[in-house]
Amino acid sequence: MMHADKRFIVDANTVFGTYPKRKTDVSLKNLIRTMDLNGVEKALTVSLKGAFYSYEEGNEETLKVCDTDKRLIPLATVDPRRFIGGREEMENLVRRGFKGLRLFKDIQGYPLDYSPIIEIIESMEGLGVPLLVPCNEYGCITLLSRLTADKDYPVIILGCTYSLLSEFIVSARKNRNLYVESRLLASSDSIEVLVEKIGASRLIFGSGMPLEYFQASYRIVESARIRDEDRNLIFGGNILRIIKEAG
Amino acid sequence: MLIIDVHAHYGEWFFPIYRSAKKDIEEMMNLHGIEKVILSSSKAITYDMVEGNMDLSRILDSNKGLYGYVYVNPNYPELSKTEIEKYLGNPLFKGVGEIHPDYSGVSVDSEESVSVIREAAEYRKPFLIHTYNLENVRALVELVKKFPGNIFIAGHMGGTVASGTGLSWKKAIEAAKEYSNLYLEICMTLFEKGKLEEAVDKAGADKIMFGSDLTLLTPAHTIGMVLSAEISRNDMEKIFYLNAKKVFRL
Repeated sequence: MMHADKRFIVDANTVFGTYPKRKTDVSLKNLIRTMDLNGVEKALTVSLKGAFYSYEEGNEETLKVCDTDKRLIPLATVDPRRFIGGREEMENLVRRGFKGLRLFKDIQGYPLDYSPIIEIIESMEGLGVPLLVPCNEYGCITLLSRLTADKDYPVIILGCTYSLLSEFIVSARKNRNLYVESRLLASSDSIEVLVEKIGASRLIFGSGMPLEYFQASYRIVESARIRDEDRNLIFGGNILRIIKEAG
Repeated sequence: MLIIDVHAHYGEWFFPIYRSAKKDIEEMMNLHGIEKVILSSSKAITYDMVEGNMDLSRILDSNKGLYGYVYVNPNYPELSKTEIEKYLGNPLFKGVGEIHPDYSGVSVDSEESVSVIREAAEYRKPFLIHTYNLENVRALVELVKKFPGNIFIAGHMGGTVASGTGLSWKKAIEAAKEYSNLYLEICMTLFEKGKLEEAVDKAGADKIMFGSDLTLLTPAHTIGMVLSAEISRNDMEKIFYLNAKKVFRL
């Protein structure tokens, strides 16, 4: 058995709220319980209300929840189908304490080549907080890399699988802003290949809990044949540095 | 807890996956406590059935816990029948699989598929069938009904649908509950929390077997899902080991 509680783990991909598409417990209580059960020190989190219903209300809920438990780090979200632009809105989110912006492209269904998304990417310049974007189809990482190549903030790809691994590696070599979440990098040596080709500093641990099984993503990193110092960067060092730099 | 892995592969992939040789498989078995593994050839599934089955036959070794599936491609029914005759009588080959409707482009309940499966059915060894959407599950259920004396395993347990509703794995669970000759195998890329608990609750732990999709996926991924699931230790033992031992007579 591998024990998560031996490591300092910061989970960059957690959610809470309700999940309307099937019966499953994604409550805040269950998120906290899963963190405790697996020895997770801190979690970047966002209310699913912002993904499914109203991003304004969801953001309020996220801030409120993170105020009551300092292990939770708030991520804002905006729904590009509703967002009509404006640097002011982005600045306000950062001013209020959000440590990054997470998009739910997978749930909301818009393409990346979409004017509101391009506006969001432009609006985040100079704010210093990371952008987290799910990419699960061919070409998405390529386009995102192109759109953010001249920006000054980190971009974390969520949900990258073995089938998108070459696309990420080639893109990340050219675009130093790109990072990748480890959750679905589950092929027999994805983590080793990434560490060798672009370095451990570009990998960020995320689990998707409580919507997904924590140990499935944890064990991918824990069992990888990499140096322990690299493993610690992936499990928390990298995302803590990014968040710290965000202020 | 000992593990038998009923869904694994030998051969290369068209992705940046470099740990795919026999020694890599053995190393991963040791690392993750896998006592026995049943492999199908990635070359046979994605390209050349005959060459792939032959490559696989050369590495099988009961002393090392390496067993195989014969792969059949329903686009080549006569050649598939020859492959069945060539390998399925060999005790190192424990079944037929992973029959893959997406790579072959042929549904498993098509006339061509059924003719091949009928030939293999006489050997009374299990069939591992790839299922990753509702249509895959529907076609498998037709086979299950057509061959009640044979055991079928829904590889990936129906898979994951992009909408996040879990409809395809829910359908596979319902089918495994209904048909005594249908089992579920659990590996996939995205593990939606609650699916294994639901499978145990509805189909029963006796109908579920561990598979990893090695070397496409690391066994760590699926082992982690089982250990995170809110199920009993007895159920975990059945899933990891006991059911496969019984079904494959290992």
